[in-house]
Amino acid sequence: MPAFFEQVRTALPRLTADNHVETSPASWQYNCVAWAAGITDIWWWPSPGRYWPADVPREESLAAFVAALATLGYVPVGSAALEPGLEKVALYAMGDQPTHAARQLASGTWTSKLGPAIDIEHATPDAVAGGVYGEVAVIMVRSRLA
Amino acid sequence: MSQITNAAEQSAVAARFAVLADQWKAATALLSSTTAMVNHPAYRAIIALGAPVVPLLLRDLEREPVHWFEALQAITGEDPVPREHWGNSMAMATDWLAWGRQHGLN
Repeated sequence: MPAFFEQVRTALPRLTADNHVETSPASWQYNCVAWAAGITDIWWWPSPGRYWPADVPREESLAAFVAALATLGYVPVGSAALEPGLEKVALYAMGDQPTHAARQLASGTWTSKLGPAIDIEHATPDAVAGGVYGEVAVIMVRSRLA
Repeated sequence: MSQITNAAEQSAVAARFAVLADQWKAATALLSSTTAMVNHPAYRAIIALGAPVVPLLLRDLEREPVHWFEALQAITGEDPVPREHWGNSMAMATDWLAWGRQHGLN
């Protein structure tokens, strides 16, 4: 069983050995929001000193995160189910405080960058919920890029 | 005597920094929020170590672009990172390492 999983099992209580796989080494260069946007060399966050799309409020609210992802063509949608030709992103929050983002792969599994740590693929959005990330608050969708 | 004292103080700061840095990295390993990261008690305690910890932060930055940027800014009162580098951890680390060299700190 991977050592990292042992470290995070309390913080991510729904993650099990069977519902995720590690897919990258740790990196301080990008975070979950950047990874949801397909970016691996920039850290997205609305605080000063980090990247945030121009004209989107630099505030840690769900509305601001929805607006940030909207700059990439995502719009809110009701279901996280896999739909051919569509790419979905899940935003997680504790109350109105955004905590995490995950992106659906064409296979239907989901990919998450865990802070400055590793990337994982997980079976469902719920697999990384219930702990430090709170719950899934918003699902967004756009056409899957070629 | 003062050299011995300074060496002892530097050694104590280095030991304290190592403990706090490990605590902070472990506690924030899953967080994307830089706000939460820099507000963690271990990060604030590192800032409280003051100027003697700056070379240690720069040394860690040489190894990987750990987000010591807010700590360096808080301790030194300087910010060598241009806005166009915001979010680019590698460029931000390079900016701070260049600042350190200018000040003879790394």
